[in-house]
Amino acid sequence: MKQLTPQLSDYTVPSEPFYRAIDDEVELFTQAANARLPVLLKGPTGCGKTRFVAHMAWKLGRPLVTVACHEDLSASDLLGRYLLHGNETVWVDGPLTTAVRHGAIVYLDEVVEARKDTLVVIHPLTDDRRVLPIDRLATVLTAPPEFMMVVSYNPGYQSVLKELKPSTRQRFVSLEFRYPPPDLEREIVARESGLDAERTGRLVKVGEKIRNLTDRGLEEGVSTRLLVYCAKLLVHGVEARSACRAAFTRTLTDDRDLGRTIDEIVADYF
Amino acid sequence: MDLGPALHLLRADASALRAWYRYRAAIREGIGEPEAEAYGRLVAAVARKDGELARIVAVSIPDNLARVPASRRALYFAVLEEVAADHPDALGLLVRTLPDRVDEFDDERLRSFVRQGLALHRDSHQRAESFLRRESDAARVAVEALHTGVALSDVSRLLTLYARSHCGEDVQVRPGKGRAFSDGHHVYLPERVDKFGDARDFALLRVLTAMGAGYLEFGTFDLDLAALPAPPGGWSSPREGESELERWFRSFGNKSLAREVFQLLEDARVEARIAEEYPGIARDLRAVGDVMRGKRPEPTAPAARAVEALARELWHLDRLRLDAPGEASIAPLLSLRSALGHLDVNAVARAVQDHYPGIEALMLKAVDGKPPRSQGSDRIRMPGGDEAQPETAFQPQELGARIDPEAAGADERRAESEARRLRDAAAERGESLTLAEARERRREAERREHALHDATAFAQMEAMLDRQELTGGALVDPSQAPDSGVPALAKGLPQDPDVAVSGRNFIYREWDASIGDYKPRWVVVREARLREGERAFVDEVMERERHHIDRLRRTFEALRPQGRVQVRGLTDGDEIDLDRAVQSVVEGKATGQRSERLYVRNLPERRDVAVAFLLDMSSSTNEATAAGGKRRVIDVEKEALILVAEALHAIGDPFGIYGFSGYGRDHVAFYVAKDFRDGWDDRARERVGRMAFKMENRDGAAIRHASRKLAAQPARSRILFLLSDGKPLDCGCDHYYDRYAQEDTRMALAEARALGVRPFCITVDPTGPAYLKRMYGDVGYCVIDRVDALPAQIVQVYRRLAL
Repeated sequence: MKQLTPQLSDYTVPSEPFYRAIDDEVELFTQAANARLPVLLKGPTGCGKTRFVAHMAWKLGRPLVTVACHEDLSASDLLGRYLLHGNETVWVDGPLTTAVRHGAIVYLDEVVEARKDTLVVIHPLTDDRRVLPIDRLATVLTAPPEFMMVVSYNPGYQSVLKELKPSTRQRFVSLEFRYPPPDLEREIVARESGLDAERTGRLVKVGEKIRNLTDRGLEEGVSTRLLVYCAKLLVHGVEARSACRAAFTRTLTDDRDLGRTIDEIVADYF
Repeated sequence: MDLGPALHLLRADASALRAWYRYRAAIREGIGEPEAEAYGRLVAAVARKDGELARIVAVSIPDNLARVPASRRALYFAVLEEVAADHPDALGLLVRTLPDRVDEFDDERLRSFVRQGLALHRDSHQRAESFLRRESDAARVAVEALHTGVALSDVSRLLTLYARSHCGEDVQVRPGKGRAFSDGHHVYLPERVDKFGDARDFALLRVLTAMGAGYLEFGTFDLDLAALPAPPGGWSSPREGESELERWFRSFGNKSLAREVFQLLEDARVEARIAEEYPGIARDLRAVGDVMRGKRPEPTAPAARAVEALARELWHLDRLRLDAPGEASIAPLLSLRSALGHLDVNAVARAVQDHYPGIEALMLKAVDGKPPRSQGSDRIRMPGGDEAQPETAFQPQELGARIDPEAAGADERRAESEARRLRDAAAERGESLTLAEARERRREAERREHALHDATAFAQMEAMLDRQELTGGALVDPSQAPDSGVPALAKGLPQDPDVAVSGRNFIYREWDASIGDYKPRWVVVREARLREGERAFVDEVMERERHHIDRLRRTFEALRPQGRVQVRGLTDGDEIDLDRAVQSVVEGKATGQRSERLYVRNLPERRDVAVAFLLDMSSSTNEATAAGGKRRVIDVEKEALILVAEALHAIGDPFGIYGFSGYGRDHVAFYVAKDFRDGWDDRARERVGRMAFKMENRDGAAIRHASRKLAAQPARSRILFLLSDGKPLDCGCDHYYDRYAQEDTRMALAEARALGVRPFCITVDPTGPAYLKRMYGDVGYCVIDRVDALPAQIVQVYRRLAL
């Protein structure tokens, strides 16, 4: 029977992704990789978790396999499945199996979105066994030393009931991410978008004020990513207020009052 | 009773007297004594002029009065009395049309609208009528003209959010009775701004909000007396609930003078900080600043003049000339002007403390050296010198934001005292804690306590549900078709002002435990749709609990069934469907064509639930809750309903919200706030806001009606939540209490289950009586002693029942 494994070259990070360290996360991640420990990244949307993983994969010279988790994600979506091609049955590796075979970093983004029974398949990979049993192939893959499991989750908008099971959670060392402090955020936004320092400064202040509304109406504050988007619109000559409306107001809320509030905050600065 | 009106009426028309007498009693019974008084007065006044008109008015007022919201009834009568005096011929028209208008305008505008209508009345009764009904074009134009400017109520939520975004704290915007000020917890703003008639009206409100929030953002309320040089003898000890600012003002010879001077400098400081932080507000401030400052007074008393001169200098207005001592008194304060933006509140306070004596000296000189507070207050007009009305005595036209820590409520004052105690305790331990840090620490402790309480409530609920058996039970023949077209059996009850449309009547049987059988066609349930237009309650809840609502919604979203269903015949999936694969190969060999749909996918099961909430609206729900003490049971229940409804709406489960009360077996009122077919929109929310305590509760009939509504829903599981405060009781008949009522309720619940409805009763009865077990039988129920936990508990039950 044929087995298909996606090519390694599909998963290499070709050039250095820009990442500006906020704390000691680069060092911690590197040591976790050396010690073969799985890592959990916590933090709000768009604060740089995914970028950080890409950056680290590049830095460590390992391929990166990313899986965006969702509630219909099943174990076979991760492990792989049989497909029928004409009269032939072919086994196709799923992303997790691919990562184990190649000794890659596998990154399960928004891991809480996946159902709990699905997540159980990662357990044997995340303790000292570092193996992946695949029932349907009747094999057990042993992960090479380069294999690394990284998961992320956003504690902000998950409810009490939608949490990681402690038995899953306690398999990871955790790095906490937050929005960068203003100085750093200005640097990041300017660097990513090419916007001038003066307008970047005002934009970052707008972001700070909008974040004050988190849990006071807004579910989550404006992300660094959105600030970058807005800055890019400004660079492309979009008028400041309509750029902010497109990047912040309409993106963050459907609530009319909240939307107007954000517009007024923008008007405080632009 | 005043017999004068009775005599007038008797002379005019005997039937008018009878109507007056009867309705007056009915109004007193059904609505209230003040309304009955006003009614009597009005009819009497009319009777003196026109007996026939008095009779018409006497008869037509009660029904119309019932449509007037409680808070506007006094105004309704006041306007009618004015009309009766000047335009008695239009009185009948006003009695009819006014109830629909009283909610639309404030007092003054309502009178203006009525005046315009009456002016038309001179020419044509018809035109006046359509004007007052707001059907004519003239009325539309008039209404638009009356509603100029920006009403705070339209933008208060927006401005609350705006203030929070600035200062990062949970401040709330509130109406300030024409003034703008802040107490450190709320930003009070004028109810309507109508100074420009264009966008600047809103800009003015926005600037005032930014100022109010700016006091918090830039630390006005973080004044720390420990950072200031203490007066001889030290600071006086803080009074209970007093803010640091108040305590500091108290250390001055003339508190009002100190307050004014501090206010001016502190405002200038906060404005400077705001202008620096927010270029957009600096722009608005330039546009509306002059109006915000108001027309400047020209005081003559030397100290007041010095303060006014200081104000004008700080605001860059035309200068006010001072004599030499006056100039000298404010010069050192003015020298701070350019540096204000870099100072903190303690530095401003210190400057005021240092230079206050110079200004006070001006005043002392004016009263021949006598201390001003002993007797001089009526001789000199000090800024805010009148202790009773410190704010209005000074610049009554002024709209500028002010600091007023004394406006804080009891809770905030208590919090402030606790924060201070916390700081002092920390100081004793040798730990240094600023007041602001102490406040934050106290808030944190409060949050922890709440969280703990919630967790306990959840745990108890879980345990209770585990004990309950929620399935099985006796079957009862439900063959009892609802009937319609029953003639109105009950009269003499005043029409319910909360009801918009009275709907159909339904007849139900009732279980009589004493004969062990049903009494057929025994109870009339009258369905009525609640009125809209009760925004305040809902807005308040939505605003206050917004965060909670979001959380609850996510909790409900997580209540998805964990089971899975297999979907076959897909082109892509988890597994190969062997049967289909074989079939496909065979087909391929036979026909050359083969199916690609060979995969199976396991999909999560979807939920299929309909829920009805049935709220006990009997008069006992007017009582305060056992735990909180301050809030009424019905308000807490309504609040819980709104929270849960928001969550259900978000996840798309169909639900209905009903209430019941009534009096006697021929009048069980069944109030519809949201039917299954209604959307959950503002109108539905307003109808929930209308739910209020009424009379008795005949639970059995209401449960029967609600479960029939629910049974008509095409859902796999149907849940009926009964929220009540305990015993079913209907004093409108001689036997609906104790065992009879409990047995009937029990049977009604059993019938509901036979209809495929799963009832669950949540009872707010702190005494936890033994009869509940019997009454609710094997239907799930729980007794809660803390209604605040209601939403969380509904989620728990929902989880158990809906899946």
